[in-house]
Amino acid sequence: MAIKQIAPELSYTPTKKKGFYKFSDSGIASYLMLAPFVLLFLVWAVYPVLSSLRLSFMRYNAICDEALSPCGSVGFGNYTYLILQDSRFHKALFNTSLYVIGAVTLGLLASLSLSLALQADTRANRVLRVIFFLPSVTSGIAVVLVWGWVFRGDDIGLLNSLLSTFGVAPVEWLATPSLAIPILIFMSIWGGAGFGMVLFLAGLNAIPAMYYEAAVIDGANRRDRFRYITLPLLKPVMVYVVITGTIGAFQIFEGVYLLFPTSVGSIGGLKDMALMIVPYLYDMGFNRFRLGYASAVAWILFAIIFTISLINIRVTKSLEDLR
Amino acid sequence: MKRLGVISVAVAVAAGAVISAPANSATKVTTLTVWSTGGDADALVMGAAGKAFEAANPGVKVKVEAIGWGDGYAKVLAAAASKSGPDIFTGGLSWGISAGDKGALADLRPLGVATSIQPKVPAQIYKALIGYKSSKVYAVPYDLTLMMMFYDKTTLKNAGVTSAPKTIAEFNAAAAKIKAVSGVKNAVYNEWGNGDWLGFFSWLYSSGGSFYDAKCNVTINNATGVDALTQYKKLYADFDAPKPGVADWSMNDNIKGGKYGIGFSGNFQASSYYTYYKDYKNWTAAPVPAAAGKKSVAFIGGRGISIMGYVPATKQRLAAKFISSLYNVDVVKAMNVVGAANNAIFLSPVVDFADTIASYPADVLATIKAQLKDAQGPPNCIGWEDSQNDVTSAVQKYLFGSTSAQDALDAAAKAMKSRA
Repeated sequence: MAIKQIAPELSYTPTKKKGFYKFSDSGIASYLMLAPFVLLFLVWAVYPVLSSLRLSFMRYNAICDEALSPCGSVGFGNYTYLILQDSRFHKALFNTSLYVIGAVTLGLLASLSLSLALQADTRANRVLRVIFFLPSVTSGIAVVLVWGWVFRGDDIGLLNSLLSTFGVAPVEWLATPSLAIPILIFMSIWGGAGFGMVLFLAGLNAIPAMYYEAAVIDGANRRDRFRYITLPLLKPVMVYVVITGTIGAFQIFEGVYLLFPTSVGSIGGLKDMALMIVPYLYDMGFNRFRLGYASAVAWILFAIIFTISLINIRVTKSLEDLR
Repeated sequence: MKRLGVISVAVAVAAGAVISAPANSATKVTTLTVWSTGGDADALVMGAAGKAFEAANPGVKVKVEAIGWGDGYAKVLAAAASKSGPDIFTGGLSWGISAGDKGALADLRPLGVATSIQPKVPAQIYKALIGYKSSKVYAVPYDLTLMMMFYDKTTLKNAGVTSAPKTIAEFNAAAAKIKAVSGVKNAVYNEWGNGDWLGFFSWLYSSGGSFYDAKCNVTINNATGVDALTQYKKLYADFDAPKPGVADWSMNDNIKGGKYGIGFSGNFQASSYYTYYKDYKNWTAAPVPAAAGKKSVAFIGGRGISIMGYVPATKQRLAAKFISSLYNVDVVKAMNVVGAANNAIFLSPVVDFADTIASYPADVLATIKAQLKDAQGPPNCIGWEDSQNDVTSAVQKYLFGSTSAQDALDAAAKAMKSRA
C-alpha cells in the first residue's frame, strides 16, 4: 500500500529538451562528432589498404610510362610467383617463422618470469621494473646500432673484446648464418620482455588474493597455486601478449636492415641468413620499386598474421570451453 | 596590445614583399637542382662544378643536394612518380637503365649530350650505361670507381715477395707467404663487394669468364666460371679473408699496420689514403691478378648522370649544358681541388683527366690508368638488376656453405635466365 503511494513520486517524466541539448541527443550530433575521425580514417587507413590490395594484382611502379613501363593487371601473377617460384621469399618466410616462434615463445617466458620475480611491491623491485622496462621506451634504431657494436666481428666488438680477456677466439657473430636468428631473437627479448612484464604484472595484481589464501588452506603448494590459479587467470593477458608479440615479430625490420646489410645494397646478410618478410617487402617496394609485387608480399603477410591470430583466439576459447 | 603587435608584423611582411618584388622580377634566376648520390663531400665536389657553371652562365644557380646510396634510387623513382624533385641526379651505373626503362628519365641523345660524351669516355663504361637492345641513352658516366689491389710494400718484403703478383698463381703463392708472416692476421681482405657478385666479378673476368656473353646469353656457369669461383673461395678458405659483416672498415690502416696483407677495394681507398697519409710511400696499388695469358679485368663502377623526364624541355637543355661542362678539364681540376680537400678525389670518366689528380703518387696513378684500359662495367643485360641478389646468394652458398661451385653457378644461371 505504501509502495503504491510512493510510486507516482518516483516515476520519471522526461522533460522536453530544447536547442543544443535536443541536438546533442539526436543521432546527427554523434555522427557529426565522429565525422572528422571517420574521414581521416577513410583517407589515411582504409583507402591505402584497399589501394594496396588493388596494386597486389598489378604490375605497378608508380611511373607507369605507357610506352616503356606500362602498369596493368597481372591477375594472381604476383601471388603465384611469390608462392611457387620466389626462392628468396620462401627463405624470408622460413626465417621469419623461426624468428616468430623463438621470439614469441621465449619472450613470453621471459616476461612472465620477470613479472613473477618482481611482483612483490618493494623498493628494489620497483627500481628493477623500471630498468627492465627501459628498453621498451628506447629508440629501436639506437638500440640496434648499439647491438651492432656489441656483436661486431673481429676483435673490435664488445662481446669479442670481453671473450678475448678469457682467451676465447673472436666469433663472427654477424657473419655466421646459424647465429643470425638467435641474435635477433635475443635482441627482441631484451627489448620487449619489459613491456610484457608490465602487462603480466597488471594481470597478476588483478588476481584476488583470497584465491591463493583459500588454496593454501586447502593444502596447495606453490606449484599448484601457479598452475591452477595464476596461469588460468592470466590467460587473457597471455593471449594479448602472444597476439601482439606475434604481430610485432612478423614485422621485424630495423634489426635486419641495420645489422645484416650486404655491401651492394641488398638486405638479408650472408646467404640471406637474416632475410625476413618485411625487409624483403622493403627491398622489392623501395629498392626496386616493384610496388605491385611488394603489395602482394604485404597481403600474404597480413593473411598469415590474421590466420595465426584467429587460430590463437579460437584455441584459447576452446580450451576455456573445455573447462 | 597583442593585436597591435600582430598587425605590425603583418604590415612588415607585406611591406617586405612589396619592396622585394621588383628586385626578384628584375633578376630572374633559373635554379638547376642536382641530387648527388654519395656523401656530403661528393656533393661539395659537384658543387665546384656548379660554381664553374654559374660563373659561365649568369642567371643560373646550381643547387646540389646529397642523397644517400642506400635509398637514393628509391628517392629518384619517387621523384619521377610525383614529378617533383631534382632536374639532374648522379647515381649507380645501373640506375640509368632501370629508371630509364620505367620512363623516369630524359633521353640524352636529342639533347646532344650522348654524342658529345661518348667519344671521350671508355667504350666499356659507356656501354654499361646503355640498356641491351636499347637505342636510348638515359645516363652518361659521371665518375669512375675501379677495383684495385692494395698492399704495403713492407709486408710483401717481409714475406719475401719482391713485386706485386700479376697472375693468379703468383697471387696464391704470395698470399700463402704473407699468411706466414708474423703479425699478419688476414693475408687477404675484400673490402668492396665482399663475398658477393661484385667481389667475384674481377676474378671471373680476369680468368676470361663473364656473367653474360655479347648477346646476353648467360655464361656464368661455364668451366671458366667454376674455376674463377673456386679461386675466389681460396681467399676465404686459404687466406683468411674476413667474411662479410666481420670487419669492414679501416682497410688502409690495417694494411699499413701489417694486419691485412693484400686488400681488394675501389680507387676511393686511394683517395682516402692519400688524404690522410700524404708522405707514406710504402702503401700502394696494383692491378687485380689475372689467369695465365689473360688480361687483368677489374670491375669498373661509378656513377652515371641523368636528367629527369619531367623537367621542361628548356630546362632539359640547360641541364644538358651543365652535364657537358663536367667533361671540361678545367672543371675537373676545380672538382679535384675540392675533392682532395674533402677526402673525395674525383675520378673523371675521361681517362686522361686522371693526370689532373695531384694527390696520387705517379705509380698509383699509372696503375689506375692501366687498370682502366681493360676494366669492365656491370652487365647491361635485361634482368641483371633483379638477378644480382640471386647471384650473390648462389655464390655465398659455395663460399660459405656446402654447395659445389658448379651447382652454385648453375643456380645463379637459372635465376639469371628466369629474370631475363
